[in-house]
Amino acid sequence: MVVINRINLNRSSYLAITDQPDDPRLQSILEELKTRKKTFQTLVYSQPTNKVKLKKALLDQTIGCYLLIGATPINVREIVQTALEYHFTHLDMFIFEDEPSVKHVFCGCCHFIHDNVEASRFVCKNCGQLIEVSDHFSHYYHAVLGFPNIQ
Amino acid sequence: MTTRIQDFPFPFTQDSYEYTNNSTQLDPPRCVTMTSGYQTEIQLKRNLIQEYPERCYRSFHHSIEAQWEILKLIMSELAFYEPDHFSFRKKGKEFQFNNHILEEEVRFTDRDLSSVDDEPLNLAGKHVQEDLILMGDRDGTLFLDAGQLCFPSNWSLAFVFGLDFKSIHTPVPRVNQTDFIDKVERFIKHIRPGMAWERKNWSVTITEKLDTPLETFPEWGKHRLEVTEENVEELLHLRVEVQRLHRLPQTNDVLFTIHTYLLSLKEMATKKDWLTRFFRNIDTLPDDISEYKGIAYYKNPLMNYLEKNVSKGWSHGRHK
Ligand code: HEM
Repeated sequence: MVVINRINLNRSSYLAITDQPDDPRLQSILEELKTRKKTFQTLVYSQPTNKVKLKKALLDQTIGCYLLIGATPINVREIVQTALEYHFTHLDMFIFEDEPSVKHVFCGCCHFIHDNVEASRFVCKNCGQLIEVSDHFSHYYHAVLGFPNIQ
Repeated sequence: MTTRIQDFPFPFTQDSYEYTNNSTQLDPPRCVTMTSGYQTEIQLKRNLIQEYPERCYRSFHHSIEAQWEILKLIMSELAFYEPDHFSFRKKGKEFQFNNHILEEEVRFTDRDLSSVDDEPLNLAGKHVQEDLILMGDRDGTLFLDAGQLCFPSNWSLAFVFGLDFKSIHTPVPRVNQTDFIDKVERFIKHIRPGMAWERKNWSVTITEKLDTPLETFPEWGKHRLEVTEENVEELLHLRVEVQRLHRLPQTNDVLFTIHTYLLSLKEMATKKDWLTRFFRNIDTLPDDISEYKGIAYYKNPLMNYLEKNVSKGWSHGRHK
């Protein structure tokens, strides 16, 4: 399976954080972890009110824990930002990818994040600036940079 | 806000452009430098921080330990090297810092956040002209864990917050095709505690503004479209960032300081050797880098101006 090749399977423990617990991609990875006799836990993250639970779960993990994150872009952002705050890095996590043609774009002028953008250039709906979609990716925002265009 | 020509750190050491790790070791290992623009720049920084806190300051809570280390390091350095302007005293866990230029006194208890109005890095940055970036070192990978940034050259602290060293450099041309950035990261990894290295980075700004963040690019960037051979001398400023890397002995994190200097082309033209070097470097600048640095918009009027103004011997044989 393609996804499994991109996951670090050498960690001691795993925490799956998901708002889609039935996602077959996640299920097959959890099966694989079982086969490899790895320790793992699952946290179902459905709304922002789960943040307290999330923080507790992150705090409870031992060093070397690897996160498997599958959620809507807004939830991914919240989960990743909380994890980074708790000293995880993007090397300690795997995020189930969205469609490769769809991007989330951070406006370089006003910081508004546009989800599910397919265009390569568009007007920011928050500040009205014409922005050019770049490949500069931020794990923190789970979005690429939208560079203001002056021409 | 330009720099006096005698304080200006002219960056070009050779006659053609090349991306290199042009870092040199500093002895003594200082993080910051004071110039004649101190008061004006500190005022500008403080105004920006107050008006745009989200743009100018970011931190993870787990960076606080390193932030305290930086605060004490910078305050000790200022007091040691500029004793007429600063003093720093310690009594047990209590510290007292005096900035005699601004007639300010700061008292705090070591590692007690309730004793300071700002986070330690933000406080330190309010007394130095440099932008301060804290790179947390986790197993040799550097992550941007905190930063106070007022004078960026067209980048956004908000966007790169939390990113690793390599990802931060994604927009820089050629870094993805070569192992330049990996090599630089390995170099930083080997900086020993207490040591500091310095490099100069240059770009060009079509205003006298020190604060040129990505967030306001449409305001200041549009002037790039207004450059002509006639006005280039007034509008164009060579922008040099003196960047220093300092390995923090206690936390093993890295403090990256950026001191930005501006010099107008008009002033540069008073030094023929500088103008000639600048001309040679612009002339040999590859197109992708010229575009990245924003020079592509006005390279022709700039080159026409330079050809006319550099010494005749050099102006023959334009590169392309
Ligand atoms: C660890 C501290 C460092 C940080 C936080 C940092 C950050 C940055 C940032 C934010 C940019 C602008 C990227 C953009 O366009 O969005 C940049 C550009 C660049 N950096 Fe770094 N950097 C660091 C150290 C270094 C070092 C040590 C070197 C080389 C030895 C280096 C080489 C470059 C180069 C060549 C550019 C392109 C600049 C230009 O051509 O104008 N950086 N850096």
